[in-house]
Amino acid sequence: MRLLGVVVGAFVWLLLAWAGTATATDDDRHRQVLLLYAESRLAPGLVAADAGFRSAVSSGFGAPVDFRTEFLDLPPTPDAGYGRRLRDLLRLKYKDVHLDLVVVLAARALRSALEYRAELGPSVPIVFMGVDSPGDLELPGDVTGVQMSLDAMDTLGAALRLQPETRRVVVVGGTSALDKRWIAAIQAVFAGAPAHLEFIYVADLPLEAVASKLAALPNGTIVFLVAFQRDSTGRNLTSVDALERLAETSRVPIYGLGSTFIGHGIVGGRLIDWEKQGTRAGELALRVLRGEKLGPADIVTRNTNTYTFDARQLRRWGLKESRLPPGSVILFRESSVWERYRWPIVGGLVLVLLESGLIAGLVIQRVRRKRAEAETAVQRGQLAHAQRVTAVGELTTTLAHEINQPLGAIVSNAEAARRLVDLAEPKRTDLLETLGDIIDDGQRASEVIRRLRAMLRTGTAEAKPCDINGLIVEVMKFLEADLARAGVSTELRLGEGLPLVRGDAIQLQQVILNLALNAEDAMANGAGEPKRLTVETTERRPGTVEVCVRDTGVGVKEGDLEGIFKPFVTTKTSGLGIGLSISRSIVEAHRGTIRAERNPDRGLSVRVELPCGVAP
Amino acid sequence: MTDGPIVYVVDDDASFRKAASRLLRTAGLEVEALASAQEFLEHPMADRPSCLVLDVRMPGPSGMDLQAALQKSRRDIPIVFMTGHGDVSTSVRAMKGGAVDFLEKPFRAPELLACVQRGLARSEQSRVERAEHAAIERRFATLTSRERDVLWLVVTGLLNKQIAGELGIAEKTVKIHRGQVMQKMEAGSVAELVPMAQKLRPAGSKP
Repeated sequence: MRLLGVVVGAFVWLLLAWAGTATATDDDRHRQVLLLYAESRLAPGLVAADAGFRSAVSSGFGAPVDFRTEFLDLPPTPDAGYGRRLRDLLRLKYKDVHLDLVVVLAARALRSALEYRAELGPSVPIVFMGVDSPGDLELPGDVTGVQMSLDAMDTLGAALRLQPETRRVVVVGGTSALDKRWIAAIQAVFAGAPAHLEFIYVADLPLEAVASKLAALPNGTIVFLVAFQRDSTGRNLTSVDALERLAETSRVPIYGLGSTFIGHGIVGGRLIDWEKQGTRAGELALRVLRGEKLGPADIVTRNTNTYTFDARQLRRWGLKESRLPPGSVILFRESSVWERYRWPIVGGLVLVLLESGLIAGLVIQRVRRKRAEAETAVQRGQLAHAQRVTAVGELTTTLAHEINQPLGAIVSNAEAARRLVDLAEPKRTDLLETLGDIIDDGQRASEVIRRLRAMLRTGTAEAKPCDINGLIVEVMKFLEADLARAGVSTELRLGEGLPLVRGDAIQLQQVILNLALNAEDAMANGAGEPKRLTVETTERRPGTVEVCVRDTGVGVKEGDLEGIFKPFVTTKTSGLGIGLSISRSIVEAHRGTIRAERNPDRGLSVRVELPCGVAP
Repeated sequence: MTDGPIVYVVDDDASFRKAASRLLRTAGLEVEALASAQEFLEHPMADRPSCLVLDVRMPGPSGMDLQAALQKSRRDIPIVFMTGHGDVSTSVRAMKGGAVDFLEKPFRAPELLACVQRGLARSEQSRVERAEHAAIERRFATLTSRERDVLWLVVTGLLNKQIAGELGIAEKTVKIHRGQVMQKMEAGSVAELVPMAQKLRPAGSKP
């Protein structure tokens, strides 16, 4: 029993589902909508209204809608023969078509739709748009639509706000039926205009004549373009084309009626929004298509027009945006770069600011660092000097010897000279030779003093291109006597054509001095071992010069190699242990490196690598 | 001139060496200048009164090293040290090692010349002493073994009788030996013989 119930239930459900589908299919029937236009062609306002309507219906209705369009191409004056033939055509055309809705634009088309209702299907509801005074017509119960306001007065008001000096309004129109009808409508509207305004109607001239008229208008005048679909010569135009021609030469601003004028030369106004007419009509059409019965009571009377202005024209005529009615839409605003690219600009500015901040920060940091570096450099200079004095102090004995040696020779020679003079027959050549020796020794002594002074010179480090080989030779001369006394043989292997090193000569010499003195000390106690100091310079890598100071001394244990560059680390009984540490700080201030390595046989090699052309 | 005094100047500094040599020559001295301790050690020494003017501080063996080496090889030459930078300990060592003087450069000519003269005088004196010593040695060598025994006992102040007793020979024999000793040693009296014996003693065997 239960199973049967389930089977029956499923069957019923399937039936219902099928029925639902059937209903849906019925609803999917293509709706036939006829768009009826009195015009013979696609006028801009028509196109906008048509597009607004179609878009509202297509997007709002679930089922497919077929749009048919009929351009009635009505003659300017009623023509009985044309009307008959049109009726025949429509009957023939729509005999077998079941229309669901007829949509018309403007009063003329509405009148035609009512006239040919029998041919289009007597029971087909009608929705109109762009009709300014539907009340003038006798409308059946199934006709509804969207009323269009002719806001010429509002436009005039706006114009007067923009141009309070206005005294004259030239109303321009064409000669087509629509043109004329609308001029009449506008004339009616302007009847209620302020009394001080003079209205001149220009509606029966060739386009060129109108243009030249506008070109000669005096100040205090504005132009109001109504519609211009044909001029007095019978030339068909669109209002937009006419407007563009007139705007070219007009001496005064032009205002207008419809939204299609905007962008073609009018300043603006409260313009008929054709697209919105279409949209509103589309909304009514949707309701009708869904089966609602709408009649004249449902006519949409709400004003759909908006104050719309052309920013380029405002600027052209020097009119102030601030005087526009509130809520005005301003088109074609030559968006200033700012308006167009606000966010990119804001973003860019933020980036620039951030970057500037960063740069400022870095600059400040750099300044601080420079200052700190300068202070450090001064301190390093002082420390280096102190260490230099200490290092040189260790050479006191040698130096005294170095100076006393020539002094001793000078004194002895002078004494000898005196004795030579005292001889009964002084030998001139001996005397001259002795005096020559005295001069030589005097110079030798002063050279020693000069080197000493150079070594002990104080002052801030200055970066200059230095010939590293020259510096080494100078230092080795300074140390020559001391090394010789210590029994150290010296070998200089100086590379040729080395690039110049940029740095402070005295500080670089100090490094060489320290390394050489260390080497000498390391070899001091080597009994019987050959004592050899080698100073080598090479351009090991392009752009750097390497100075290698090699000794055959006691060396340093592998593990202590790095430690010897630390301050107060010493293996010597005398000395503070700051020589190598100072040397390292000097080398590093020159952006160089210093490292020590054990020689394969015995002793130590200290390698100093200095970049060329880099300031400390 | 060949056996006149000679001064050696040893200094590594060529110009100083030359200046010092020149100064000494103006004082009428013969000078030989050498550049290092090694050169001096290898240089043949003339048998003349000589003095060494020596720089303390030199590459290779220093002046002090040379002094030690000379003492070791018993080469007796008075040394006048010079230094560019003297320190107390070095000068004390030098003086203890028998240096004539220790001069600091620069020094005046009279200082150097005085030192050199003293050195040469000392050298001269030791040459004389060495010559006397050699003469005594030569005479002593002519004595017989018995005569030497008698000599040593005579200079200790024993009488002939005591000597005879000591040596176990007749007093008369002692007398003959004694006469031979006095004659061979060219001594007029015991008082003359005693200093000769004293000079011999370091080489002799008897106390």
